This record gives sequence, C-alpha cells and structure tokens, in this order.
Amino acid sequence: MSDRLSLAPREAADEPFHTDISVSFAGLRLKNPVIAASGTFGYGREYADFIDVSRLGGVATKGLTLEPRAGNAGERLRETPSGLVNSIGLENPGIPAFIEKELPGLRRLGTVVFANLSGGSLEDYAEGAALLDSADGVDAIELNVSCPNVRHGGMNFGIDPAVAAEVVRLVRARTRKPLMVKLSPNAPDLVGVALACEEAGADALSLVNTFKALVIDVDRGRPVFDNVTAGLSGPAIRPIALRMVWEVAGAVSVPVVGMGGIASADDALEFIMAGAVAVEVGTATFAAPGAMLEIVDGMVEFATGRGFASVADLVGLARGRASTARDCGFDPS
Amino acid sequence: MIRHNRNLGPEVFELAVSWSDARPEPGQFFMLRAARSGVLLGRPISVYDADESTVTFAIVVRGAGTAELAELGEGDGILIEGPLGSSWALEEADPSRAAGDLRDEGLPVALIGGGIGLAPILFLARSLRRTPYDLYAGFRSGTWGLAALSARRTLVFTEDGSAGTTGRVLDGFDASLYAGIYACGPEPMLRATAALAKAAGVPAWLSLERRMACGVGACLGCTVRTTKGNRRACVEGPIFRAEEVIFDE
Repeated sequence: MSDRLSLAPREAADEPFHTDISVSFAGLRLKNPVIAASGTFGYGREYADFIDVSRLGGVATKGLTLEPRAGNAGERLRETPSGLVNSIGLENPGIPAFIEKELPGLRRLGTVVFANLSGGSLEDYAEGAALLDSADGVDAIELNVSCPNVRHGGMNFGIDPAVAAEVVRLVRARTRKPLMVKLSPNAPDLVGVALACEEAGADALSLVNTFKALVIDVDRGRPVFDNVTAGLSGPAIRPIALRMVWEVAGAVSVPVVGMGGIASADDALEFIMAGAVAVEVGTATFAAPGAMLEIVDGMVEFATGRGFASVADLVGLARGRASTARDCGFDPS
Repeated sequence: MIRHNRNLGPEVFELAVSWSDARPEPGQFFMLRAARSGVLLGRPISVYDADESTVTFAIVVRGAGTAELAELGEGDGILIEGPLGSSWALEEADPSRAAGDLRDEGLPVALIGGGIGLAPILFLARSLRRTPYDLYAGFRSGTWGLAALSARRTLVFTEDGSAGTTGRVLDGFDASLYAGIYACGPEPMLRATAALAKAAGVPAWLSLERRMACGVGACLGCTVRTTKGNRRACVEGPIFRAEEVIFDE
C-alpha cells in the first residue's frame, strides 16, 4: 500500500504540507467537497449574514418548480430524536421568478450553484430544465425525483427505475449543463434507480433525500402533518444513508454526492471514504449556521495531518479502492 | 453564558444571558439551545427584556428543548443566535413618533398578552417612554411579570380566578378606545383580537408563534399565510399587521 493511503498521522518533523481540497466531477470544479443541501439554505442570501458563503464548495437551491408553489398547509416541522421531520411541500417562487429575483444574488456569492429542479409532471420537468439551462449562473442542475412531501410528482418519479429513467432522459435532452440526479431512499430498489438514471444520462447522483416518516400528536390523536407522512432528515438517518451511498457508489460509475445527517468533518469523511466525491450538508446548518465551514476546516485538518495530497485521495478509501477516483483526478495506479 | 435563571411564576422561568452584541428591538427573538444538549435545534424565544450586557427571556417548558433551558444555572453555556425577526411597528400607528415615543397625548394603545405571549408584550411595555398604554394580561393561574410597569391601567384575567377577573383576556375588550393594539398569545386569542380591531377600525399588530428550524428564512418551516402571500414568521415576522394574517379555520 502506498504511503498516501496510510491513515497514520504524519510525523511532526515532516515538511509543511497542504492538501488540495478542491474536487472536480461532472465537469464542475468545487473549491471543496461541501455543498449546502437543497431546502436547507434558501437561495444563499438567507445565510450570507451569518457565514462566508463563498467558502462553500457549492449551494443547492431550494427545490424549484416551473410554477410558483405555496407549499403545504398546517404544521411543517417537528423535531424527533436526532432528527427533523419536515413537510414544507416545495414552497418556491417558480423558476422564472427564481431566475429573475434570486439567481443574480446567488451568483455573486462566489460558489457553484446547483439549481434543484422538481416538478409535478414530465412536461414541468422538461420545461423547467430548459429555462434553467438557458440561465447564466446556474452551474448545474440537481434533478429532484425524491421530494416526499408533494401529492403529485416529486418522489413518485424516483421510486421506479423506468419512471426515473424517463424523467432523466427528458431533462437530459433539454440541458447540456451538468446533470446530477437526487435520489430517494424510499425507492424499494435504490441501486436499480441509480443505474437507470446513469443509463439515462445523469452525470452524477446525489443521495439521499429524506426518509418518509410519520409523527402523531397524541394530544389530538391525529397525525401532526396534513399530508400524514413527511420527510425525516438529520443524524438519525446518517448510518442508513451511508450504507445507501456505499451500495450506490459500488454499483455505478458516475460520481456520487453523499448526504444524510452529516454534522461533522468525521461524518463527511465517512461518506467520502464510502465512495462519495463530495457531500451535501443540510439539517446541521439549522442547528449551527457555521457547521459546513467547520466541516471544511475539519476535513482539511484530517487530510493535511495524515499527508493526503488531495481530498480526492480519500474517495472510496474504505472500500479498499478509489471507486470514482478518475472523476476526481486521482490516478489509482 | 447564563447570568441567572429564576422562577417568575407558575411554570414560567426567567433566563438572563450575557449579551453585548446587537441590542434586540421589542418583538424580536433569539434561537436558544443549551450548550450541552440532547436536542438538535435551537428554540425560538421572544425577548422579555434587554440592556447593554444582558438579554432576558421568559420561558415556559413546552418540550425537551425548553426543559433543558429550564435546567440551566449561572455560568452554564448556551447557544444563542439573534436578534432575529421583525419588531413591534410603533411608528406605523403614528408616523410622527419614533419607536418608544408613539404618542404622549390623545388615545392610548392597548397591549394584550396571553400566557407566555406576555413576554414580548412586557418588553414593549417597558420600552414605551411616554406613550400611555393599557395592559391586558391573561393567565391560566396566578400572575408574573407585572411589577414596575407604567401602565395607565393593568387588567388581569385568570382562567381559575386566582387573580384579577375570572375569565379570558378579551372579555369585554373595547378596541375603539385605542389608537393601536399590540397582541401576543394563543392563536385563538390573536384571531379574536384581529376581528375586534377590524370591527373598530383600529390598527393592530400580532406576534405569531411557529415552530422553526433555521430561524433565518431558509427552511420555510414557519410560513404564515397572509393576504400578500406566504410570509416567514422568522424574517418578515414574528410581528404582522393583523388584517394581513389569514388564520386557519
């Protein structure tokens, strides 16, 4: 085994050493592997007073649909042990208003912009993709086939491999921008969906979105949420999400972006070592706005301290090989 | 860091936190979580009082997050983020006056607080220097926080008759006596306040309570339906013009 794959801390007497923490995949170059997860970071400006957004590898926007959506009525949030259950329901101003009002400010934040595209029908997805494709400042599209909180569309497109492939093909035909498909952990055959999306033209996959969950208000004897079920995120889902990233990264050859309850640098490193080229962080930002920057700093400290020339060298480390390393510029030979 | 934690009244405790950063306006809130905590997220808590080195909260235990806050003592660590949200729009009722100096003659304003909703109302009351106001304070049982106020009249209501008038805070309320109405409390109380204010043609402002995850406008978990579309209780709120709020049936 080569020295750079050793996990032993470097000797104190070693030369000063700096790890390259930038990552490249799907034609994108991110200054580091940490991306703000869709739905947890608004359109970037919401957190701009609290953290230096330009230090993030990327930002995924709140889920966007062609038409404006008011989102769900009733309760929208409930904290559960180590988790957060949400039923927002894709509240967003619509893609044209996003492009006009939010995108200019988002571009100026100096990070890679993933426009998260959702839809209620195949036509909505296709038309939305075309609008985002022509929008300067959208660096990539994260195709959301995994929202559990809308009655039509959303997750329904990400449960069945054939249906998912159809959406990806349609969107692929409407955009030349990097296309990352965000997968639902609620698919009975997640690897099958992943392979179908890859086959249909996805440049990358991100996973996982929230787990379908339920909370009952015992005082009222009723489900808390109007839609009955909602989506669980946060540390509660992390080991399951990690297992899913491991399985998908082992099955596909496109890059995988991992997420699910990441709250620390070690959490992020688990996903990277499982085969993810980058990570998204969401619920942790709600708990501490600076969480993502601490994760970046912690990853640098880890990789530098152990003498890794690049964070890319850590990708898939736990698998005994660098699974998607070619996309990260790592030569496994 | 916690300066003190003391009992204010039945089920209500006063938590004073060292804070010399941005001074909160009456009506604003902070996200609070014990530094050593078993919960994930901060809890949105309105400011009860503030000076140049301290911000103080009046808190009732509702669940795990507030139960942890209740256990904090002097010197304990706390995660605090704020001040957040909008403040009571005093100058809108009378543009000639800046906040805190609404009017020193003519009609007074009404401040209405129900239960723990009194916290931001009492911060407002203490910040009024010359504006005459009547305070309507509703409690389930017993009272707290009513000392050292300069209210023209203080009307106390308790549901169990343990203090003041037995009944609800809006029993017999005459909105037409006032130049403006400021209210915080349970949603049925706020809905009734909005209806009474509208019938009397008096401007009213309500502080709404919602569960929040981020507190800064990103998660869209605290949406309030208004006549102008969805608004976020954490950014555009928690203070809203009463006539703009669409209450759930």
